Amino acid sequence: MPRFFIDLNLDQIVYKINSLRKNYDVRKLYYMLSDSEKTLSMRRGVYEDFKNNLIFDSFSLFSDFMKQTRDYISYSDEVDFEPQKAVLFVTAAGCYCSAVDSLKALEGRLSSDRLIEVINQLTLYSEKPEYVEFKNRAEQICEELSNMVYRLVITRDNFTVNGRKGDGCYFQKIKRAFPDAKDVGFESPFSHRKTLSHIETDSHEIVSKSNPDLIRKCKDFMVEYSDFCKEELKLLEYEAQLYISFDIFRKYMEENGFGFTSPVTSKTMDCDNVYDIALAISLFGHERSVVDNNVTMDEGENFLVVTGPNQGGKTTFARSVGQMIYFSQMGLMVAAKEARIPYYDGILTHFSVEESTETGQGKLKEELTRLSPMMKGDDKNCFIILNELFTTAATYDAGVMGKRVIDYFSDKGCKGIYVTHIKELTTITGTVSLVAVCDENDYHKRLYKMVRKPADGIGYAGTLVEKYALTYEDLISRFDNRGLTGGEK
Amino acid sequence: MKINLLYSDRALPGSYTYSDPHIVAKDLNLSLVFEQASREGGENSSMGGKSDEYIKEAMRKIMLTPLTEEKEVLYRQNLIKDAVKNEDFVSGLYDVAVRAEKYVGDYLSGVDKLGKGIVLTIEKTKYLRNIMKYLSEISELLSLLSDAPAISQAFSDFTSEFTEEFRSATEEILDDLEFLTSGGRLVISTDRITGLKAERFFIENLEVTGFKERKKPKNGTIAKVKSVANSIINPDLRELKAETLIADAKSLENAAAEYILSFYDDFMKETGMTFKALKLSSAFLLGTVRLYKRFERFGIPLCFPEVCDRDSIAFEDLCETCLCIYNRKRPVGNSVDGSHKQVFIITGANQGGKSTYLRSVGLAQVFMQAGMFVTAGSYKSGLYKNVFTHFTRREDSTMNSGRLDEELKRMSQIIDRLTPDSMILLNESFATTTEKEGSVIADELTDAILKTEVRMLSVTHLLEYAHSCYSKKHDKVLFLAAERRADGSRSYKIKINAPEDTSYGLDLYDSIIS
Repeated sequence: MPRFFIDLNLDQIVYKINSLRKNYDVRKLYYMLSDSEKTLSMRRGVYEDFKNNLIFDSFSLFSDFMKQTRDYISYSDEVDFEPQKAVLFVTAAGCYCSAVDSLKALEGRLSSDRLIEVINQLTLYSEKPEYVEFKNRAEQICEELSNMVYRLVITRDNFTVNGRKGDGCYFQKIKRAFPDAKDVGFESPFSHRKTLSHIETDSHEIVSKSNPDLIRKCKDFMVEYSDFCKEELKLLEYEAQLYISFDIFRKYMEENGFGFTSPVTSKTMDCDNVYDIALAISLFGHERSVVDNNVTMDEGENFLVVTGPNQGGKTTFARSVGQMIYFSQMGLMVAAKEARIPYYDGILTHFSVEESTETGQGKLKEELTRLSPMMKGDDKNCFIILNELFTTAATYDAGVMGKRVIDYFSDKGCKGIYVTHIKELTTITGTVSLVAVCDENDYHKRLYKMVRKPADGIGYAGTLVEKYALTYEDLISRFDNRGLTGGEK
Repeated sequence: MKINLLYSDRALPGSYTYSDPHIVAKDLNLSLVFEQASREGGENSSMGGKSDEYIKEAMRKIMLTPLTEEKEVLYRQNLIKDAVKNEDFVSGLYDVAVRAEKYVGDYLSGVDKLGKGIVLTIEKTKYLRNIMKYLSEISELLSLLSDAPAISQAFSDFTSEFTEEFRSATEEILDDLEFLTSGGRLVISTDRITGLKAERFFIENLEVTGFKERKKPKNGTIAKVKSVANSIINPDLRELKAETLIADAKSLENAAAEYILSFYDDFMKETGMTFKALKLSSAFLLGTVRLYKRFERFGIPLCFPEVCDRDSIAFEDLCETCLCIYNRKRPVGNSVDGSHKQVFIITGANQGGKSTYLRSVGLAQVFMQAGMFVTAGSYKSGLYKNVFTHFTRREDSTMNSGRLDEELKRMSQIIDRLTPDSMILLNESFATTTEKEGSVIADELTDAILKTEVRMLSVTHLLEYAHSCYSKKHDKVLFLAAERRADGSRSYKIKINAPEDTSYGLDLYDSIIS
């Protein structure tokens, strides 16, 4: 997991993404940021294609079949009973052919160079005579296997199996009590174990008398095509999960009212309505809304220095920007309305550990220890997020240290956000002062909005009536806000 | 199977309650009402017979969940009118509901311990049989109803779903399921086989063949001969001899039985809920009937209130309900016509019945919005989404300099949740500061409220406030005052009257000290 993951709450987001993508563990895919602008634009191209429903569905289907193929192969490996082993192996081969088929339909419908190349190779492979022969045989045996059904009669003392049609359906009786009921049958009590139960083994023996060749054909097939599953396709299946899982997540967020946008690479940063995805998820089902912010960084602006009251949304703001840059670097979409973001070579974060039991000197030492490797590397063009550094140091010292940190990273060509209580840092050259603002009429009410303005620090104390906003003017404006005065005649 | 004994379209109250249910209940002394409703007759003891904790909770829950539509109020009034005429039915229903709900609860809490398998399936079958028994009891009770169209209507879902056909088919199925314990013949078929394993089975046939213990055949000659003979007749026949085969056969049999029972899953779950809802609704009806009968015995005026627009309120001979319970006789009643009056300001002598008056309206409103009767000759009012009470209890032992802070904070919280269809009852609000300051706050609040449609009743001894309001001659404000007879004694009647100059605290002083 990249170092900045926990600071930016990306671990929570990726956990959610992973839980939405059933049957796959996609977390490691999210640890791999683009290593160059070329990779980034390749990924963006691929993801653009995945936003097309047909392409998304085809790759989902491909994944499902590939997963089944892998599952049946390992299932076949696990069991010892030869007929079952062989039958499962052929079943796997059948799924594999379906997987290949599900992508062939995409020929001519793709825009991304990378995907076009992939599909072309796949088509070449599927047209080879060896593959065609393999496919025909697999499908023919699968067809025969699908015709195998049986009927079990169980009494107190014995049981038997026959292929004869049923002598009446018990379901009619249930329909008398529940006219709308549908007969879906019941799950076999032996379906949870992979090997055959005794009653299944006996049943198989009785049934296979009618088609003794079938099992032999399966065994032959297994010997001949022992290694049919191509590594390239397994890799394709795995890598496609990045785009599939993210698209599922994006749609999930959109259903809950949170939109995404495709970022555009530009020289300066200019983004509208950026929000914290992890916060948004945690507020699903609550009536509270998530506040978003606009972020701009023009040329010559290296650091956004954020000040303002506690609980005013500073950390959330810093996280939301960090998350946006991360998803942009992944080649995916970002949580904003519009986003123009420069290409960065990496993301570095340093958040104060609140729950740390260390205090005073101990905590400062801990902070500096974590900071030092960030300042020793030769990272250029990175995005840096520093949150509440040096809170335990004297304000003057913290100011001096903060300025050094900002200057160091600015000199290296890095950009970033610095969340702090120290006003002095907002006036360093190359920094922009952002303030988390409160309601003009109610200094207790946090708006969670970051506004470009000089840092200030005001307190407010009023009489009790004013405190509780119970003066006539306050009441009228509160009633207005709640739509209570509209009915006045 | 919904039995709508509380709402026209559902069985149980939603999560909506008055915003501060506990404060409303405390300020209006509703716990006395809940307590009285939970007691059976018993004319001799002061409050009647033994109290039923569940009825008390049911009354609390339902009375603090206000009805806000006229249609729903009328629906419930009709149910209560029927219930008053059919007390035996209501108490019988409550009795079945209590037993059934307990049975369901016991079963559900024990069922997890049974694990899976045949033991559970057999218990489930037994459970289904018993549920059917309780439902039949309810069916029989329904035949006892007389002149109760509203209650019959509430049970229409029940009667249309719990039909004779359903009952007989279920009885037959329950009998078939006895094959698990008494032996039978099961025929099942597969549809799809993957890797030689069937995914699902379908039941072709199931019959009980009579009791016969399944056990390993003796190793005697007769058994051997029989087995050989069988295999000659049908070479595909396999004896169930080995333990492992018997276990496999048993698990198939159990899965089949579970499948049949699974069709009853919703039914069983629903009936569990139905009994729970029935317990709540019948407890409420029973409590309400008991209150009604008791008040009737004491000659207290009772009426089913009438819904009108929220800009008016009018009543005759309105008695404070809790006093009716305390006194066990008819207390002083008040009448007023508050048509197009939005704000009541009640002033006057201490101990003159001002707080009682305020509570009598609050209680009547809560009773009305629970679809219940009101202790009055007549009562007409609008329906409010919320009733807020802001009572300053001067007797509170927590009095300290933080009181005004607390009082204003509470008021501010009320303002935060105020909707146009709210009623606020203020009892001696802002009395924790000086008369002058308190008056200013109350005056500004009243002026602001008059810009909205919120109904407000304010009991106050802040004369500066009352006079200031009076001088503004707002036509939506009604001034009331405790009646003071010429001799200085109190009638406890509250009448339309301009605010007076003194609170007649001297009267009180005179009557107690001299």
